[in-house]
Amino acid sequence: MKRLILVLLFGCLFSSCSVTLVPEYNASLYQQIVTTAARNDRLYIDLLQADTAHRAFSQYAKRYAALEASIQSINLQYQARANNSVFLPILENIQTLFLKYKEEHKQHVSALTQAEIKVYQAYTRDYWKPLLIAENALR
Amino acid sequence: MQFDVHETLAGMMGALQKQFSKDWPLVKSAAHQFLQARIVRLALLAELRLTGQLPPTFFAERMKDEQLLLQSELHAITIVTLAAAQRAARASMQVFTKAVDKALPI
Repeated sequence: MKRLILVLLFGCLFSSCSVTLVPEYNASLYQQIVTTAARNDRLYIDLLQADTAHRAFSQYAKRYAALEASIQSINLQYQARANNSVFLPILENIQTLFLKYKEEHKQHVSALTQAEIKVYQAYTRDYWKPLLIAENALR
Repeated sequence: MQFDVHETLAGMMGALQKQFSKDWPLVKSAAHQFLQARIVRLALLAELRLTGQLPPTFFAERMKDEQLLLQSELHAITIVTLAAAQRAARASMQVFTKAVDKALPI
């Protein structure tokens, strides 16, 4: 009997009883996050460097669209992962803030000011940070 | 070899503590990074608003965004903690597995 319990415990430990609270680290997904965050940052670096005549939304619309697609791709990959529940609100917040800043740029009557771009850049960098730190913790 | 449950439990607890103390700086570092970023961001926002470079509506919208950022940061800290707990639990299970393995007659 004692031996049977030991064998069962042993089998359990090697099969389904492994403790899983978070998803497994995904190197390619991490790389995609790094690349997308860098492109998002680059958008504001370019806006900062452009003179006011070259800051219209129409001139950046394609880049916004590419970023939106990339964020959606990351989001879909997280949705398909096991033990993803704690990650999803972070992804949702990234998407919400990205779309909000895109819309604000689109609706802006005059050109974005240097101060506004600096603030957008700071918030953009910081809405990616939680996801990068969280994914990196899975290593 | 006999299976000593007390010795095994002590070993499991030891592994748990060792792994947690190894991972604890990661949790602290994440919280510190978020706090530092918040200080820098709010200082920039305050400076630009006080010098009249930001309209009040823009400032108000960013204050709303702070709530979402805080929410994301708290979720990230939860994930870092859960990942540490997972590693600690696995280290502890390994101690148990090894003890059972040793006790099994081959």
